[in-house]
Amino acid sequence: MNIRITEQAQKQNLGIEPAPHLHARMSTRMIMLATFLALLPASGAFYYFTGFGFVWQFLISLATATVCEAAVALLRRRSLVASLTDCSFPITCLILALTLPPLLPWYLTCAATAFAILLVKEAFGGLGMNIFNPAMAGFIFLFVSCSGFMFRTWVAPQSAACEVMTPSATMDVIFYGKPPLDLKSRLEAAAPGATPVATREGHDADNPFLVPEDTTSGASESAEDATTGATILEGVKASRKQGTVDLASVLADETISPYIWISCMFALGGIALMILRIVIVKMALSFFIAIALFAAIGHALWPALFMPVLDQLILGGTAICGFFIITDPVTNAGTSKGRIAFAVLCAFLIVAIRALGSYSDSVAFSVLLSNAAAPLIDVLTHRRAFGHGYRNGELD
Amino acid sequence: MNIHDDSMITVEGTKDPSRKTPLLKVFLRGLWSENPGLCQLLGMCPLLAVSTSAVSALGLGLATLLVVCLSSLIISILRRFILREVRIPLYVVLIATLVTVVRAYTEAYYPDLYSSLGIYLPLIVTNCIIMGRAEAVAGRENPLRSLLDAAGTGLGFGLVLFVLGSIREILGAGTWMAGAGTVLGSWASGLETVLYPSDYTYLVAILPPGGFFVLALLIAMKNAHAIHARNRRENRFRIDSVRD
Repeated sequence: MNIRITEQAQKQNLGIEPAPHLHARMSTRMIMLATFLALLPASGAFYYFTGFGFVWQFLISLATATVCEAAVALLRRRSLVASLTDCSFPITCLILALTLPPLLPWYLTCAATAFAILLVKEAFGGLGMNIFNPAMAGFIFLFVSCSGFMFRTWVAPQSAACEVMTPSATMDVIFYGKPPLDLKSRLEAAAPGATPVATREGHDADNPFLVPEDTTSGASESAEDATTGATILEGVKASRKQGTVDLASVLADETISPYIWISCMFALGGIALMILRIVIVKMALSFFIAIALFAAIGHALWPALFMPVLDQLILGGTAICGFFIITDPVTNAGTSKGRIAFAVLCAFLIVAIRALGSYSDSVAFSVLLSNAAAPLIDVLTHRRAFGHGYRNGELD
Repeated sequence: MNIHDDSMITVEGTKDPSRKTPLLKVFLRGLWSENPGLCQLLGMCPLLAVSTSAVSALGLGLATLLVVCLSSLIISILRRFILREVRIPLYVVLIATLVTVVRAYTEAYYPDLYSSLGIYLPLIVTNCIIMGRAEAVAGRENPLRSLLDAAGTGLGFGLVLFVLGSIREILGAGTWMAGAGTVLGSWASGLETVLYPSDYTYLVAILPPGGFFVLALLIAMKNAHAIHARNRRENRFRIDSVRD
């Protein structure tokens, strides 16, 4: 019988690797572990500023991803232990948990994770073969499918939110379908500079475990979405339609400090990864410089459309994108120049879609579009092979 | 086969009447092993555009089935009189006539279906499945075989369209056969079912990317079925101790 197997299959079935057998200090598992640890400071900040809901999202996502990975490993007849200990899918889950709204119902998180792991990652061949960033694709899957849910369950970060968003209170919302608006209004009431108006009648602000029964009707909830449910960038978009990017109306000075803290924590993790040479320094640098540059030009020319530079850098997912998402070694470009081009393209798309697009936050869309462009960038920035492509009449 | 003469390559073949495919296989070929939606990947434009709901998918599937059967039958009857050199224009004229008739019939008797299908009903004329059947089978075979082949192909396409539409509608809207009563007639109103509330639906399944996702999964399942035996044979040779 004539059996032909591919090189990939040879490696997998027979354990053959061609020479040279160099010893690498950084294995894939170590890189993934380091990235996971580098995300922990930001996760801590997230827990402090948005409460325990984020941890639930991570646990739901992790459980779903483990089941999906195990199922794929069984289908592919790969080693179950090796697939489950490669430490790559917990990162996908953590990034998903950091980007999804903290009070999202559990089944939506399950669906986003299953989509990310099964269709975006494993259908293309698993770890190292995926074209698109799984976490961002999972986020877009939900964002396109049920953006109303996303805005309704989003929690604006504020200091000491973890005291109101206790494990049991968030569990009620995430698993048992209690209306998220009650918890959010309690959170607003607990804010340091909150006016007493925020505690509406019927809500007991002192007892975080008491959830009123009479506000479960969907109509009252959806009516309030437009004002209280939207993210900051959604508010910016709404004010842009009225002709100005009026950040003062959606963002007071004391409410911006959580965003600065979270961004700094992402930067802390990112710098740790740069020291370990896992994140490519020039890629992250060129990304942030490009964002600042495009935002500055845009804001100078059309101040009614583009947000100021500092807000572009702090709000939305800019920080996590620059340090952890575009630097994903699998889905970015393969050449050195191409990586910078990739980062600049992604930065341009983020700034442009934020100003001109119909969705409020653009990081996920920009990352997926840049991922799609990465093979083209590879071809365009291909290095000249030695001895080829000299001037006419000389060596060629 | 004469391969020494560069200027002209002639292919000689012999016709063996005893080796004709059996009639049942001709029918089943289009339905499964050479399914236009899952294997030949013909007619993708209406397949992806119309399959947003089960009812419109069913409507377009039936219309396509009708056109492909009639056109194959007529072309097969007339195949002795159709000049080889001008066969394509003649096929197009025949198919366009049939599509016009089907379109006028749908507009008269099923106006809701007509408006929900929109441009895709007249566009059946450019559906490459019909031209493909005319070119590959109807212009060569006798009317019975052509009709069976066209029926198998049309049914295969209609089934894929209906399954795709059902999956997308169930995932994206939580309903199945919604609007069947108004589109297909009052007898079908019993088919309308609401499976779960809209809180649990994924709108992306109805949007264009969802069409590609669901079709890709259907093709993957078809391929997995097709290479199942080969996979089992190959997996016997895997060495478990060194796999990663």
